[in-house]
Parts: sequence; C-alpha cells; structure tokens
Amino acid sequence: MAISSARRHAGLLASRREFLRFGCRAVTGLGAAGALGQLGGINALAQTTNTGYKALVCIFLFGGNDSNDMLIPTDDAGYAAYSGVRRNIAIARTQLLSATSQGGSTYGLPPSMPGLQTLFQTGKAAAVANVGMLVRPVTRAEFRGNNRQVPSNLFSHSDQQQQWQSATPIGIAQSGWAGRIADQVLPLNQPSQFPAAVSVNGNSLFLVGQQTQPSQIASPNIAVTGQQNRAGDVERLNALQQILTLSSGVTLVQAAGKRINDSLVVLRQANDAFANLPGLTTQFPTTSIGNQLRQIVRLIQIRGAVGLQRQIFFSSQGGYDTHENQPGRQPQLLAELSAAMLAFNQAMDELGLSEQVTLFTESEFSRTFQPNASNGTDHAWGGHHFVTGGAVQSGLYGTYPNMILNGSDDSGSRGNWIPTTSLDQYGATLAKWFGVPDSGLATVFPNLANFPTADLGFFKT
Amino acid sequence: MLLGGLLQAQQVTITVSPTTATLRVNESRSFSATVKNTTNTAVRWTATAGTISSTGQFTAPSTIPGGGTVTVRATSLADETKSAAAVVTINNAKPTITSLDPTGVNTGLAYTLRIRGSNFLPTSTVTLEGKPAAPRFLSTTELEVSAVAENPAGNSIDVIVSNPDPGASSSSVRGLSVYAPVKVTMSPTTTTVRGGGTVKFNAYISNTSFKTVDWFVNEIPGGNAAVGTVDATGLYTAPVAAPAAGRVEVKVVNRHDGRGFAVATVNLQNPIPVLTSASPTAAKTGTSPAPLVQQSPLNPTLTTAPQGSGSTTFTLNGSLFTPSSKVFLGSFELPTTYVGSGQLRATAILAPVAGQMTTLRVVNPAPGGGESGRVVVRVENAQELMSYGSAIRFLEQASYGADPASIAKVQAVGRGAWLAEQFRAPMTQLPDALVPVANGSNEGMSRLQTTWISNALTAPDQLRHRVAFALHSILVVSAVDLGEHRQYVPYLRILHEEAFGNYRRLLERITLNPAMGRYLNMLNNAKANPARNTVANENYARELLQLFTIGLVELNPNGTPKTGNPASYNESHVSELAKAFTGWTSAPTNGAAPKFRAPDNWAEPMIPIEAEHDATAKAILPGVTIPAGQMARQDLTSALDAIFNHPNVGPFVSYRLIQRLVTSNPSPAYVERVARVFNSNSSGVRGDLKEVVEAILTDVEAGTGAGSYSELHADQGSLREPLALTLNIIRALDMRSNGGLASTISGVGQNLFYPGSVFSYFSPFSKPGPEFQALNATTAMNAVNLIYRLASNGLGNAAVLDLSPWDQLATNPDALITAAANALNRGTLSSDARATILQAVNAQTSNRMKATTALYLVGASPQVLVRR
Repeated sequence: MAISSARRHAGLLASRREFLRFGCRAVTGLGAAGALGQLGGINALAQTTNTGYKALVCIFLFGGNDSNDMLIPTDDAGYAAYSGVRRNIAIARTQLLSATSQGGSTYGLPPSMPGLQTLFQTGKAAAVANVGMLVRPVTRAEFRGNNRQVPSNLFSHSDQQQQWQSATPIGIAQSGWAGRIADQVLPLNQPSQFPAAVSVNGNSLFLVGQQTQPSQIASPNIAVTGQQNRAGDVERLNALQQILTLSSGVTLVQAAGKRINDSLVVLRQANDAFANLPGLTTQFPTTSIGNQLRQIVRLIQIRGAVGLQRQIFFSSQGGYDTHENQPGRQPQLLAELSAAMLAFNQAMDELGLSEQVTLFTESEFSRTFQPNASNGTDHAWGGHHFVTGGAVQSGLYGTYPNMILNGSDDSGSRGNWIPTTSLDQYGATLAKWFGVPDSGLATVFPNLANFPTADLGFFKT
Repeated sequence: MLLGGLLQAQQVTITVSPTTATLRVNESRSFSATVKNTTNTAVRWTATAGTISSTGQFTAPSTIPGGGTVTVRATSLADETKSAAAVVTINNAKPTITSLDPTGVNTGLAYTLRIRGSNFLPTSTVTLEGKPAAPRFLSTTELEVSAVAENPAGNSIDVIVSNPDPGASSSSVRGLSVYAPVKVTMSPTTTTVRGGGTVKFNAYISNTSFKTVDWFVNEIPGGNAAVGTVDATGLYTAPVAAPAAGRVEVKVVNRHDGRGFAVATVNLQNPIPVLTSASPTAAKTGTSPAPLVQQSPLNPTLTTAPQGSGSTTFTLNGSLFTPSSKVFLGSFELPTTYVGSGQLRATAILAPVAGQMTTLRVVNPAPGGGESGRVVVRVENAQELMSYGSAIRFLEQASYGADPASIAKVQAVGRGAWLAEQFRAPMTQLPDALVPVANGSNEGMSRLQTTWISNALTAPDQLRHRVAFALHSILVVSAVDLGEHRQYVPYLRILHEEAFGNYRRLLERITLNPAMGRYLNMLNNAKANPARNTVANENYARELLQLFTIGLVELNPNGTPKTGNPASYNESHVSELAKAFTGWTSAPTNGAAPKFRAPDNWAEPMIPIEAEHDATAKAILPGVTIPAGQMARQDLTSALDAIFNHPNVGPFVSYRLIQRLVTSNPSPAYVERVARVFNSNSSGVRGDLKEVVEAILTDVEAGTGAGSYSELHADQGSLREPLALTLNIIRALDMRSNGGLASTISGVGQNLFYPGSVFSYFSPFSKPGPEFQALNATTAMNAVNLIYRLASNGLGNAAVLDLSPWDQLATNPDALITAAANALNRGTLSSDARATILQAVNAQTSNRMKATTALYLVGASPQVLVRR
C-alpha cells in the first residue's frame, strides 16, 4: 500500500486509530496522490535535513494599525513633534520602551509591547518605517497635483487590504504576493502535494499564487464526522469525495466541490501528521493571535512529514480601526500582538529554527497623525512594520516620515504619510531571503523596478 | 327270589332309587331301578321333562317345568304293568360371572356395568357392594346394571349375581375396581401463536379406559372463527385477528368423566401483515383550506379536520390484515377501514411531505403484530401553478428555505400572489431586553441570535427576514463592537421595518441609529476643535459612501464601472461629508436636558446638538456643496438626499441585493433591470425596496418563471452562505429547531450578527462568489460535518430531524435517494451522483444509516451547497 510505505519512509509511526478509522480504501480515496507525493518529498528532505528549510509568517493587522502610536520618536525633537499633534491621545514619553535608533534619532515602543522590546534587545527585531502601497515614488506635490500614478482607492479598507496582500496597487488582483513567492520556490517543495501556503485564520488573497493553492488549517484536529469504523463508513466517505469531484459543468458547483475535496485531503494529511507531534515548552498566550501562531508552529513542526522545505503562513489580528477611543483600544491589541510575537520567536528558538523562520507584520494602512473628535484616528497611508527572527539584522530601516501636518510627507492635511518605502521593497527583501531568485522578484512584485532598491537590508548577510 | 316264587307265583316287583331328587335345570343324575321276581330286570326309563337315558341318566330340563317337578319312571319290561317313579324337583341354575365390563369405574361417577357370565335369568338380581341393584337382563349371559361408584378409589366394588328360588343361588363375588377420577393432562400448557398460525395439542388420559376427549376453545366446542378452532386431534388454528383479551383457552375434556380435563393458555399474537400492493402509488395533496394530516413529524397528531377537500383513498392488498390493522403513511397513522384479511382501505387528505415521497405500510398492533413491507407513494402538490423545482428555487431566494408547506403554497398560488401576501404579512417582532444579566452587565447576543434564527425558520414573514438580513449584510453593524442585545435590537428592527420601505428612509434611520452611530463613530462626532487639534471623525462618512450607497467608482446604469474607473469622490469629499455628520449624540433619557456626549440611549434615534455641529459649507460630493449655516438635521437631509440621488445608488444597491437573494454574478442586464426599478418604481418613486425586491425575485435570471422549470446557465447561482445553508436544509427536511444554531453556523464561516468588519461577512467582489471568501479547509470540513449532523440528528434540540419516515423509505434505496434529492436539490440529481450515492447507501447495514447516508451525501453534494 502506498500509504504504509510512505509512512515507513517518513519514519512516522502510523496511527493505528487513524488507519482503522479510515481503512485502506479510504486512504486510497483520500490521499493516494498526497501519500505518493510525500514519498519523494521526504526523500529529498532526508538528503538536506533542515538546512534548506525556511518559512515566512505574516501577521496582518486588519483595520489599519495606527503605527504612529507603535513606533514613537523618543528624542526631544521627535517626541515634541509627536506630542504636539497627538495631544490628548499622546502616550507619555516616560512610558515609552526604548527600542531602536537611526542616525541621531531614537525610537521607542508603547508600554503595551514589552515583548517586542525583548526582541529588539536580543537582536531579533527590525522596524521598517513608513511602508505603504505605491506605484512608484510620489511627492506631496505630485500626489496633490494628481499627476503621478498612485494606488487606486487609497484609504479604503477593502481595497488596501487587497493591495497589501497582492502588491497590485491598481486593478483587480488574481493572486497574492506570498502566493507568487510560493510559486517561485515551488521546485524546492516538489513533489509534496501539501499546501506550502497556509492560512490559520480565514481565506486571504495573500497566499493565492498562479500554481499555489493555499489552504486554511485553523485547528490541529478537524476530521470528517461519521467515521466510526462502522460498516459502510468508508463507503460513505469515498462517495462523498466522488460526489465533490463529479463534473457538473457549473462554475460555482465545480469550485465549491473542488475546494471542499481539497480541504478533506489536506486536513487528512495534516491530522495524520499532527497526531504524533511533540509538545512545546514555550507557552503561547491564549489570545486569538497567540492561538494562531501556536497553530503555525504545529504546521512548521510537520514540515518533514508533509515534505515541505518552504512554507508561508498567514495569520491576522483584527480591531485596529480605531476611529474612536484609540487610547482605550489599541494598547490591548498591541499587547496581544507583542506577546504572541515574542512567544513565536521563543518557540523557534526551542525548535532550533530561529534563523530559518521570519515573522513580519502587514496592515492595510496607518492612520491620520492628527486625531479626530472621538479620540480616535482615521484612515491614512504609510505605516511602520516589524520583522522578527534570528535571521533579522536588528535596527530601523527605511525613512521615518517628517511628522508635520501639511508637510512634505503628508498627502493631505492630517498626517496621511506618503510612504517612503513601498510594500514592494518590503516584500522583495523578505522574498529574496526566502530564496526567490532576483530574476523572479519582478514576477512577484511587478512595480519593484520603480524603486531605488529591492533589498532594504534588514536581514543578516 | 326263587324261594318266594316257589311259594307263590311270585309277582314282578320294581323299585326306583332314589325316589326323590332335586336337580337344577340342566343338571343330571342317574337313577337306578331294581326289578325282582323275574329274570328280566330290564326297564324302560321315561321322564315327564328333561331327558333320561336308557340307563337311567336323567338330565333336568333347561327350564323349570310346570309344577316344578319331573317324574322319572322306570317300567319293567318283564311286566310292563309294573313301574316305579321318582319325583325330581327342578331348581333354578346357579349364576356365574365371567367378566365385568368395565373392569373398573371411577369413584363418585355413575356408571353402567355389563356383567358377563352364565345362568342369568330375567329374575336374576345383582348386588353391588351388598346393595341390591336392578339389573337389566340382556341374556342369560349378560346383565347390565347402573349405579354410582361410591367407594373411594382403591376399594373395589363386590359384584354378585343371584338367582331366585327354586334353588336360589348366587354367583361368586367379582370385584369391580374403583379408580380415582379420570385425569387428563395436555401439552403444551401455554403457548404463543400468531394470527393464522396453528399449534398441535396432545392430551394424556389416565384412570380410565374411556379415552375419548372433546376439545373446546374458550368453552366453545371446537371453537369458532373469532377465537380460533380446534379439531378432534387437538390441532388449534388461531384466528387472524387476536380477540381483545389477547389470549384464549384451549380445553380438552374426557368425555367419560367430565372431571378429567386440562386447559392450555394460548397467547394470541397478531400476525405480521403482508402488503403486496397498494394503489394509488402517486397521489395529490389535499387542497385548501387545511390538509387533514397535519404534518408535524415530531408531534404526530392526526387531526381530522372536516374542511379541506381532495382526499385520497388508498387500497392496500395483502394478507394477514386484521380489524386492528392500521395503515401508516410515513409516520402518520391513517383512519383505516378493514375490508378483510386481504384488504384494507385508508383515506386521508394528504399534506405535503418532505421529499414528496412517503411510504404506505400496514401495522398490526400488539400483542405480536408487526409491520408489513412498504409501498412507496409519491405525494405531489395538488395545485401546480409553478413547477416543484421552480417553487423551491423561488423559496430559496425569497425565504429561508423550501419547507413542504411553503412549496405547496407557492405551487398553489404562484410567485406573484405569494409575494403580495408576504409584503402584507405582519412583522414578527424582536424581543426587547433591558434586563441586565446576573453579573450586572447587559444581556449579550445569544438570545437574539437564537430568537432570530428561530423566527427565520418558522415566522410567516419569511421574505422580510430574508431581505432584512440582506440589508444587514450591506448596512453593517457588527456585534463584535455592539454586542449587547439592547444595542443591537433597535438596529435590527429598523432593517425589518424598512425591508419593504424606501431606501432613503432606511438610510436616514440607520444613520441615526445609535448602534450604527457607535459602530462607525457618528455618535458624539464633534466638529473640528483647533484647541485639541481634532477634526470630524470620517468613519461614517467614508463607509456610508463606499459601502452603503455609492462605492468608490462611478458606475454605469448596469452596475459595471465606467470606463477608466473614475473615482466617485475623493478624500476631500470624505472629510467634508464627515463635517455634515457632526453634532449628533444620544437622545436624552428620563427627561434629562439634551447634551452632547449624553448617556447611551440605544432605543431612540440620535439627536443633534447644534453647538457641536460644523455649520460651515461642505463640498460633500463632486458638484454637491451643502451651504453654510444649516443646522445638523438640515445638513443630514441635504447630505442623504444628495447621496441617495447619486446615480450609482440604484445599481450599487441592486447588485448587492441580487447577490444576497439570487445569484453571485448577475449579468449587467439583470442589474440594470432592477436598478431601473430602484430609480423609479411603478409610481415614479426612487428607492422603493418592495418593488426592487419584487423585480429581483421575478426577473428572468432568477429562473423561477411560471410554467416549466428551467435550468440556469453555468455561471449562475450562489454558494449558500452558512446561515442559509443551515436553515435551508432544516426547512427542507421539515425539522424542528430551538434556534440554537449560531455557534454551529459560525463554525461554517458566518458568525451571525458578528461580521468581521463593516465589510460584512463576504466581499461582494470576491470570486468566484462572495461566499467563497469564507469557504476554506476548516469551514468546508465544518460544512460537511454540519450536514452529517443534520442528517443524523446530531445537533440536539437545535435541529431535530424525524428520521423515521426516512427509515421507512430506506427499504427502497432508489426511492430514498429520490426523496432526498426532491427535498434538498429541487428533485434533480445527476445519474453519476445517484449511482455513487446508491452504492454508499447499499453499503449501510441499517435503514437508519441508509437514510442518514442518503441525506448526507445529497446534502453535501456541491449541487446543494450552491443555491441555483
């Protein structure tokens, strides 16, 4: 049987319970292709052990994180500029956690992010300032004169989320930039049939590639109900899979059937692999983002079992649309984010994968530097982001904006920062580290050539 | 002698010896004669009766001669004058007994005894145990005597026959045995037999030679049709129908001694009926007003409403039917007429049934009893203005699913009349709740979710629920931020109240709803404050334009973006519009004076505080400027009027409502047809949602036109959103629910009233359809598992499926699958899918698992997951 030989090669103890539950025929129906695929992938992996493995992990901060309150100047001039505009929602200077510097300027974190401070202190965190969607570099005059191409529908959540995930600032995107990265590294993962791109919290365009079909595996144990080793159970499961894949000629029917059947196959593989995972010493916070990153650790732990050398993950945290009472809402979100990011990095240390896994943030936009009437902030543009992991060269990259309303970096009047670094550059730096050849970067980021550098330098060389 | 002769001429003398004698009849004895004085001593013997030999051997006559004596005479042959005689007295003979018949009798029992022997006389007497009896003389060898055996068992009766004088004598004593009373036993003594069956009894008789027995059933000799019959050999044949008592007694009695009997109890069980055919096998439901069989599978009461018409009489043929046999249609017992053991009739006015397939069967009651096999019956709706498939498709667009009653209704009255009734239907009210829960905080969303789902499943105003939820999916307030009952209900109520109202009025009510005010920050949105370096909150202004009305890009009348994707407005318009919405706060409560940042009041619309309203002029849209100096409410009116009248709104709203109700990717022409109604209804009014909804649901692209059922083109349809998927199946299978389904539905990707953001549950732009945005490995598995749980009754009171009618159908897997497809897939199923499902159904080992498997595999097929 294909499955048993694959398991033997994989060095896995076949779960008798699982095997009994599905039986030989079910295995054939469910995962023969995957099982056969594993065989080759595992052999390839065996030759290279862990040395070739890398993973990228994205945390998307939905709602538009106000990074003006996440990476704050702590030197006199910088803090004065900050507090002068932020006024009654400004965070007290004494509370800020020292993090990084650039030139003569120093920057700190809000008191809600001690975990990230730890990562900076241990040299595992970098900040990238004022990253945003751009078609090409644009000045305030150009933007206000409307004479350079700018991304469509700036300041709209849905559009900017799609653009941040697709690196496609104009028009409708069919794929995401992580999906395209996965396409580029596909040879490293062949012949595994297990999805290289996995979300742990909902579907995202981010992971969709031309060849790469992402999956969503939110929990370590989701299985088909009704499989109780009774007579007829196996036949029922096989029939389900046949029905899901029957040709109907109807677009949505075919799409739904395929997606569900793919899900059954992938979850079956994942569940088999999860069944034998060792525990972790590292404790994760039991927040949504903590649970998501914990699940990503599991998916990294099964990399050998499923035969992958490159994995890309998507996780997310919502609630950042702080139009109102930002001081009452954002610190909690950032605290959860910081604690989860620290735990994830500790888990990578524990697994010995610190230098092979990089965790980074995205968000559709930052928020107006000038507050609104509700002690909140409104939709803006460029924002700061963190990249963490053992491969990261700690520091601040990019250019912190000139914090003056109606100033040179303000696209409007309220501190809607024009990005000084494009998402393309941010992503290309990650992609290059991940193993995308220079020749492939333009495929992943079509506008990359419009910017002065493709590598922001936040990885160790 | 010589000497005497010498002396005288001696005379011959003759004597006979003896001279007297006594003999019984037929006895013999010899006489001798002595002749003297002669040498010739020869004599001649004679007798007056009887016979006597020449030598004097006398045999008495067989009867006593007259006078009682016989004279025996000897006459000398030497001198025939000389003779001598003897007198023989003749006595009766002595009786003897040679045998008794019977040889024994039973104590206490009257008997007739035949005594066999000899020498019996008509005058013979008999004594029995010393008491004279009166024998009947049958012959000299047989007497008969009747008496009662008084001796106890074990003591014989002395039998003596006596003959009278002359020569009275008695026989010797012959003992007549006295036995105990006759004993009868039988086997078996208890037994069970089904109606029409037989059982052989054996009887064992002792203490008598009279073995003859009589058989009775319930004391009736030989029994009868009602209680069963028993023949002389003890073979009992049960009646087809058990008598009420449920058992009979079979009795065997010794004919000789009635005290000798035995009784066996026969527990009669009703037979297992055999149903060989029924007609008709296709029937129509009754017509209005009310079907007789009220379809409520979980509360199967049969009401015999006198009204209604269109009854169906089923004739069922088979065997082993009884007067207590009941005909069942699916789960329902029908009034049954017993025609004979081979035929029943049952009449009912049929109600619509899930899947349009049901079964007839015959059930014989306990004791014993059982069910016949099934005959499948198709139940079609009596009136079919619309086809079955079209009616279901229509109901899945216009309601939360096609339950059997709704299908019948739509087929009966047609799409237009159904819509008209729905538009008139009173609104199901949502509960107010201002009661804090125990911990002092306010009630959350759980009860509202449960109540709303329950209403969506059962409330008569189905279309209103469907449209209200569609509007909720566009005009989003999420309980992620407004998660209290008191916050959410007033918002939701507006959507229900305005579902068939005007979009302009709806926009205004939603704009001033405090939950929306809190969600998108129009509540307490103050004008710019230079001292604090703040400006108006842009949130509501932005989302009102982008998500509720106009969208980012200028649209053609058919909803497609205009060439070059020209922006509908820019950032400046958003900032300016935000100013128009400043100054609004909670309405005062408890008579308090209005003030800005007033305490929360979720029940009433927000009110303006002019001091916080920005009354400057505002360029809110391209070409639209609100003049300076207007009050907050005037600004609101101006802004909403301008937005509402933007040409995008018709196609924008139409497109989204079409997606929610009918199809994910409507053709531009469809959007334009509906948008035209939005722009101007039949009375020239803009924004009339009632006519917009009607236009959406009656458009040719909805595929529910009158007459035959049409297939749609390949790209049409919508992946059912998890809420609709769940509710559609529950209604299609006529399930009962307590509404507690929110967490289950959430697992499939839609957390009711908790959309992730103002962008709702799904993006209208997601491909291949909005709902695919929520379909991933986790939710897909949960969806498949949800359907398994629905089909296996695995959701507790949240979704209770009466599987028993499906169990009945499962005896006919083809019919089972057809029924599942009728209920869940508009009666369609590809031959490939049918063959696949049949194989899986046949692999199941119980009817229950066959039923579950068929419903599961049809329900989880992608044809069903996609509403088309």
